[in-house]
Amino acid sequence: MASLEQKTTKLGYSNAYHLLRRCSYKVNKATINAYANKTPLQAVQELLNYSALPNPRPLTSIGTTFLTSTRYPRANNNGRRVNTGFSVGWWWLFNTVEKVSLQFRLQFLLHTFFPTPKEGGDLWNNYDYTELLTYYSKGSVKSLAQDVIKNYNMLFFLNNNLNTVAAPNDNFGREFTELFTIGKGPQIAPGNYTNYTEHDVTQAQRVFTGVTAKDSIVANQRNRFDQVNPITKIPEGYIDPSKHDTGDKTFSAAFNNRVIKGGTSSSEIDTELGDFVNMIFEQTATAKNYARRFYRYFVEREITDEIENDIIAPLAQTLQDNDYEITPMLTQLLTSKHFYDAEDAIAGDAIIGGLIKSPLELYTQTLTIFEVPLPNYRNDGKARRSLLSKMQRMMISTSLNLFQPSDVNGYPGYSTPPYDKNFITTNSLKLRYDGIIDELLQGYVLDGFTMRLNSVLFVQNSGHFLDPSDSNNVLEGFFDLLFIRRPAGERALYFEQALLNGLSKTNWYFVWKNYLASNDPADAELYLNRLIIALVKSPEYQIM
Amino acid sequence: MNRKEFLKLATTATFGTPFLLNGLHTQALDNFVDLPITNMGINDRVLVIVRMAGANDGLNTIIPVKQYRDYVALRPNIHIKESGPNKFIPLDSTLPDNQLSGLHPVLTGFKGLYDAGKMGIINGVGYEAPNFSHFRSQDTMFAGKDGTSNNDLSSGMFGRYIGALHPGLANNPTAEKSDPLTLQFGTTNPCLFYGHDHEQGIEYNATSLQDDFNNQLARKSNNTSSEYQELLSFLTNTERAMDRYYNAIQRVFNAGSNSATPYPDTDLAKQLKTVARMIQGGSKTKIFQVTLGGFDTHANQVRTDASHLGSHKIRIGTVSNAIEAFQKDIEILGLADKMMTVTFSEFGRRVRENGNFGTDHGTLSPFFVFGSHVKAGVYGSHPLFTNTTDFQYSESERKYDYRQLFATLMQDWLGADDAIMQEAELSTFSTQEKKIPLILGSKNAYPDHLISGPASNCENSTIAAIKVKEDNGWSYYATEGTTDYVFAIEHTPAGIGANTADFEASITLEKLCDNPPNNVHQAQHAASGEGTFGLGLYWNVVFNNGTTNGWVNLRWFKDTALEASLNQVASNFKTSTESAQQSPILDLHTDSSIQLPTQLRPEGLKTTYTAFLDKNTGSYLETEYIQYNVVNDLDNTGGGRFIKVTNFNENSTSINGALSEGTIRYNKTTNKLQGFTGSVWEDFH
Repeated sequence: MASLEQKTTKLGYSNAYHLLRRCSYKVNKATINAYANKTPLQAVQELLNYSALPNPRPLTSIGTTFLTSTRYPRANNNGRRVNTGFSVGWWWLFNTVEKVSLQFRLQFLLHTFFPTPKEGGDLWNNYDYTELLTYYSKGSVKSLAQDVIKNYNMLFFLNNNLNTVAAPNDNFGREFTELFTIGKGPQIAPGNYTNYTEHDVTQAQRVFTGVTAKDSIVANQRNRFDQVNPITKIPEGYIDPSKHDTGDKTFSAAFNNRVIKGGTSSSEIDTELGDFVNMIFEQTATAKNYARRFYRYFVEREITDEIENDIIAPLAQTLQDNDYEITPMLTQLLTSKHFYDAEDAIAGDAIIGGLIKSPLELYTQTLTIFEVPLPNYRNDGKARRSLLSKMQRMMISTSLNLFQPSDVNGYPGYSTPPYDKNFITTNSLKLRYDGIIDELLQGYVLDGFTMRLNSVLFVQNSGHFLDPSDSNNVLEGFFDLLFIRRPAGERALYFEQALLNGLSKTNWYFVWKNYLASNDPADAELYLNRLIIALVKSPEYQIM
Repeated sequence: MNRKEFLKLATTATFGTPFLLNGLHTQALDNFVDLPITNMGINDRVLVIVRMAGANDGLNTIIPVKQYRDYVALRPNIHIKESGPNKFIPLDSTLPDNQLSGLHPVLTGFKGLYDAGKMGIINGVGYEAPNFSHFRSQDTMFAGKDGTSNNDLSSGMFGRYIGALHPGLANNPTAEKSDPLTLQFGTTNPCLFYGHDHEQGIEYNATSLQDDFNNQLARKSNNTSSEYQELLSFLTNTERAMDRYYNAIQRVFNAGSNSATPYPDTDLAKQLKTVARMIQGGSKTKIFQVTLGGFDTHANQVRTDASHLGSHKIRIGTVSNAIEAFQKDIEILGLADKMMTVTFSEFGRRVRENGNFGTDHGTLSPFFVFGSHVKAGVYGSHPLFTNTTDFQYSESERKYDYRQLFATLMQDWLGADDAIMQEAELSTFSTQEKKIPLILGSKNAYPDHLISGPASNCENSTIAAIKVKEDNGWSYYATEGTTDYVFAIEHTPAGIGANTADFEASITLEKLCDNPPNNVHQAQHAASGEGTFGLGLYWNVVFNNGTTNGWVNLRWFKDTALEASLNQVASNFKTSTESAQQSPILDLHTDSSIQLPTQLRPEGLKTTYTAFLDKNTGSYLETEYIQYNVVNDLDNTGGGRFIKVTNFNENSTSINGALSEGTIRYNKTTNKLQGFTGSVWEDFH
C-alpha cells in the first residue's frame, strides 16, 4: 500500500540526485553532494526558498535590455531589437540554468495548467503572462485560475475578449472547465461529462461574458498599466458591465444545481467570477485533477487505483485544506517515502528513473551537469541571448516549443498519455542525440564567447573523478554523474570500449599520464570525447 | 516531423552519408513487399490523409443550396452570399435538390477537381455519441469508436490495419522493408497512425505502443518490473528503428523529384509536395498524414465586413489549392493511379453562428475524397437544420458514420481483405451495405483483388537441429547440413536440482500456420519438451536416448529474423495474457519430459508457461547467444522454489519477479541462502 508517510533520514547521493533531477533545471555535482546530507524536508525547503525574482531583464539582439524597470517595464529605444515572439521565453530560460531551484519547474507546470501560446507574438502580453506564473510559483493555483480569466494572453487566445451577452462564444468557458480546472470525466450521458455538463459550459461562458481587453496590442505597451491587478500589480483586462450577461446562472446537478448571482457592476461581476471559481475549486474533482497533474509532473506518469486512493486523494485534501496553496502539498509529496521509492521492500523498481527528460530538462541539465561555462549576462549579454535562442531552437526541433504549446491542451508530453514518452520518437531521439553534445565538445563561438565543454579539464579539475589514469574511475565517475544506474555487463563494456577504443586500460593509463606530462590534451580529449558522446547519445541519458 | 526538420534531414550534410541516387529507386521498389502482386497494382496503393485540425466548419465550406433561407437565418453574419461578386460557386446543377451544393468562393480548386471527375463529397459524417472536446473526439475517431461509454481507445484503426497487413514490421524495419509503414508530417498529437495516445514524429509504431499500453495495464495489477528497465527498453527499441527509418526516408526523398507543377507557398502544400516526391522516389509507405491546423474558428472566422474572407477562407483555400496542385503533380509524375487523398476533421461546427463572427463546436461535417479513381459525386443528402434547442444537427441527420468512409478506403481502395478488416475492427463497416461506392468500379479492389495479411502465405515446415559438437560440457545443435548453431544444452550443470542423468537429444524446429499469431501461447503445440518461438514457430526437444532428472541450461544462438519474430510474439503474449512480463523471448512448455522450471513468476504468467528469469548473453566461436540459467522446483510440487542466481549482489533487485512468500535465493554477496518472508529476505540459519 502506498502512502505519504514522510522520509526523515538523510537523502544520500542517489536520492538527492533524484530530487534535483525532478525539481531543478540546474543540477551539478556539488549541489547533489550538498543535498545528500540533508533530510528531504531540509532539501525541499531549500528548493522552495525563493522569492520575487531579482532577475536581469530580457536582452535584445545587441545584448542590452529594452526595459526601463523590471517591475513596471516600459519599452525604451532598444525595443525594436527584440524578437517579440521569443524574447520572454529566452529570458525565462536564462534563469533556469542560473539557480538550483524549484521555482522554474513550478512555473512551467503552471504554464501547462493554463497554457497560452505567444498570442499575437506580443512581447508585453507574454511578459505579463510569465510574470503571472512567477508570482504564483509560490502561491495558490486557485488564485492563479482567478487571475488567468483576465490575463491578456488568455483573453486573446480563447477569444473571451469577444464573449459578450449579445455575442457569446464558449471557447474559454469550455476549456476552463474541460482542461484548466475540474477536468473532464467519463461521458455518462449525452453532454454529461461526470464532473460537469454541456449546460455548465454554457453557464461558465455566461459568467465570463464582458471580461475583455483593449483591442490594440500595441497600445498595451504603455497603456496596459491602466488596468493592473490590485494584488499582483500585473496588467490585466477589465470588465465591461454592459457586455455582461447579468442573469443568474444555474448550474447542473454536478454542482448541486448551484445558482450564481449575476452581477451588474464591475465589482459585482468580480464577485460573480470569484463565486464561480470558488464553486469549481470546492469540488474534490478539481483538487484531484491538479494533484494528478503534480504527480505526473514530478513523480510518475501512471496513476493506478492504489496511487489514486493512497496518494492523489490525500494530496487533493491537502490542496483543499490550504486553499490550493502549492507549497504544503508539494512538500508533502516530495518528502514522502513514496517519492523516493522507499516505502516497500522492493527498492529502486519504481519512480526513480521512471520518467523521460523533456527537451528542456535534457538541455538545461546537460549544460549544468557538465559545468559548461556560460556567457555572463553583464559582460556577454549578446552571447547569452544567442545561447538562449539556440537552446530554444533545439527544443523546438525536439518537440517542445517553449511557451508555444501545440494547442489549448498544452504540450503532449504533459497533457496526453503516455505523457513524457511523447517526447521520444524515432525522429526526436535522433535530434536529441545529434543536437547538443557534438557541437559542445567541439566548441563554437557565440558573439565572441566560446561555448565549449572541455572534457579533459572537466575530468582533471572538477573533483568528480578519482585518479583518472584508471579508466574505471573515469567510467564510474561519469556513470554516477550522468546515469541513474551504473550499466552492467555488455552495456558497461560498450562504454568502456567507447573510452578505450579497443585498446587496453594500460594504454589509457599512458594516454592520461602523457597528457599530464606534456600538457597536450589532444590525445586524451579524443578518448574522453568519444566516451562522452556515447554516454550522452544513449537511451540511459534520456531518463530521469 | 515538421517540414523544416524534414528538409534538414534531407539536406544537411552532417546527418549521415548522402545516398547515391543511381539504382536506389528500383531497389526500393523491387525489394519491399512480399505480398502477392495483383494485376491492378493494389499493393502499391497509397492513402493520403489531410487533417484539418481544430474542426472544419463544413457548412461554410459546402452550402446546402435548398436550405439557404434557413442557413442565412442561423448565420446572419457569417453566411456566404448567394449573389454578387463573392457568391458561392454552384457545384453541379444536375444534383437532386437535397444534394444541391454551393462551394465557398475560394474553393476553385475543389470545383475544378469535381468537374474533372476526381472529387467525392460525403455529407453528414459523424458518429453516434459525439463529444465536443477536440481531444476526446479525435481520440475516439482515431480509435475507430463511436463515443459511447467504455470505448477502448488504446489502439488506432489505422494502426490495427497496418499491424494486420505487416505483422511485426512496425518499428522493426528490415533491410528489405525499410520504409516506415505510415508517416505523418507536422507535430500534431495524437497521430492517426498508431494508437491514438502516442506521438511519433515520423513513423507508425504500433508494436511499441501496444507494449507501452500493456505494460501500463499490467503494472496496475502487478508491480514487479522496474520502471527504469521499462523505459530503457522503450528507448532502445526506438533507437533501433531510428537509424533505419531515417535512412529510408532520406533515401526516397533524395531519389524522388516533383514535376514542374507550381505548389502554393503554404506549409500544407509543402507537406503534400514532399509526399509526392517521396512516392516518386520509391517510398513504400502506405499511409501519409499531412496536417493543417487553425480550424477552431470560434471568433472572426469571417471578416466583419466581408463574409467570404477571414480565417476560415484562408484555411479551406489553403487545403483546396494545395490538393489541386498535388493532384496535378502526381498525375504528371504518373503516380495518380495509385493515390487517393481524403480529408479528416474531428467534428463539424455548430449550425448557428456564435456572437463573434465564428462558430462553436458541432457534430456533423462533410469529408472530401480526391483521386483519379474516385467515382466523383456527392454522397448523402445535406443534413437538415431541425434542431432549434441547441442548434446542433439532430442525430437522425447523420448520413454516414466516419468508419463507413475509412472502411471503404481500406477495403475498396487499399484492398484489405475481410480478415484484415476484422483485425482493424472495422468489419461491421465493410459490408456492401455500409461501404460507400466511392471507387470507380473498374478500380475497386473488392472483391477480386483483395490483399491478405502474410499469414495466409504460410507453409508448414519442419527442420531438424542435430548435435554437431560437444565442448566443455555443452552440446551444440545446428540445423541439418549446416554448422550454424541454433541451440546448446549443458547436460549436467552445477547446482541444486540440476540434471545428473545421461541423455541424447535432438531438436526440431517447426513452423505451423494454423495458429493465429496472437494465440501461439494459448494454442500450444502439444509435444514433449516443447518451446515456442513465436508466430507459429516452435521447437521440440526429442530424446533419442535416456532423459533428464533435473534442469539443464540452454543457449539460444541469436538470429535476427527470428528475433524480430520473437519480439512480435512477446508483444502478442502480453496482449493475450495481460502479463507484465517484459519479453518471454523463449518459452518452454512445462508438461515435458525434460525437467524444466515451473511457475517461476506465478503473478505474471499463466501456469503452463515459463520464462527464464536469469538470462546472460555471450558468444561461442564468435556467434552471439542468449543463455538461460534455468530454475527449478525443489520438490516438483510447486511448494518451494529455488533460483540459481549469478552475479547477484546484496542490494540487487534484479529478481523481483520471484518475490512471493517462501521463495528462496542464494545471495552471492553474503554466500548465504535466504528465504522471502513476504516482506523481507531473511538468512537461513
